[in-house]
Amino acid sequence: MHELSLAVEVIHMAEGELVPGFSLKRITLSVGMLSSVNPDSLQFCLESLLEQKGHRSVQLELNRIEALLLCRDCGIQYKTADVYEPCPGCSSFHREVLSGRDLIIDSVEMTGEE
Amino acid sequence: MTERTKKVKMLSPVMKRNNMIAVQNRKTITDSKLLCINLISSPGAGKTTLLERLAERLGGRLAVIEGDVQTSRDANRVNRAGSYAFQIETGGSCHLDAGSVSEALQEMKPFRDEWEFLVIENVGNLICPSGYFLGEHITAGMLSLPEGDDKIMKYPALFTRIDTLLLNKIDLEAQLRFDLKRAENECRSLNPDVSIYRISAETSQGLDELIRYFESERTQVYS
Repeated sequence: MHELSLAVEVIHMAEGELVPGFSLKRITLSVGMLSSVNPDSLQFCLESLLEQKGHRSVQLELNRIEALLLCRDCGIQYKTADVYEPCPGCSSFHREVLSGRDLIIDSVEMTGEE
Repeated sequence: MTERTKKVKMLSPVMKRNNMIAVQNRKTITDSKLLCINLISSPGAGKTTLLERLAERLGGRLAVIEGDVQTSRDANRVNRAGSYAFQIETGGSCHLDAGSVSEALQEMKPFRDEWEFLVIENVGNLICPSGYFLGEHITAGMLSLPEGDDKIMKYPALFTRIDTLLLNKIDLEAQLRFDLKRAENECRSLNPDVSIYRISAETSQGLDELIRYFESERTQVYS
């Protein structure tokens, strides 16, 4: 249930990029598999807040990003959506998480006249 | 006048602002030579009971920030046990963020010279606190035996980022079907460098060893 605070921050950051006279058109986000963010709940919070703040018809694109793991036994790196799966190279469970913990704003699009 | 579309590539973590405040918190904590521990668990795992036991042993060397949705019960418990405690009431929020800790640190000033350890007891929750760095040196995740030995992989966001796993209520091992090896192996399977302590806040089992670990970490940070 921390998605609301995350949505507040996403909109704050997106608004910070807005050029005067332009309005928000699209926000693209990467949601890491290990970020403990529920994409549906984040989308709902973003839609509600955007509407409240007067941002009309902003498209939201939330992409789920797999975790990147490093096997400490055979050294390969692999992506997975399921941390219950062992290393595909050597079946080891001796792994390190390299990425997939973050929620990232990839880009913001805006439209306006100039 | 023509309609134009602009695209700004950001690639910015949403935690960026939180993390910047956390770095300031770390500086405040470091200036006073405190070792800071962010303690995270589900409600009822025994965080406050552990802090009471630590307060009895460490007394004036320990300061605590208590994060709760409501009431200052936990701060009162730690106070009665012999240590300073500052209560943050989040008023509904399910986690502490760096900003709320920063405000608490300001209100706690001036820091007492005798303080060596600052434990931030997070809001009881295994999910929401896991993404928020507060400026701590050690992120400690606590799992108590009655919760079950399958919880590590169910909450990977927390258990893959902790430095230390505290398995609490070890005194109940004989009564519960909790496979300690399973929990420890599963935690190490995604977090190979985690240090693990089996403790009982109720009976004080394992607490001397835990305090020695905090002491040696503090020595390492400030030597």
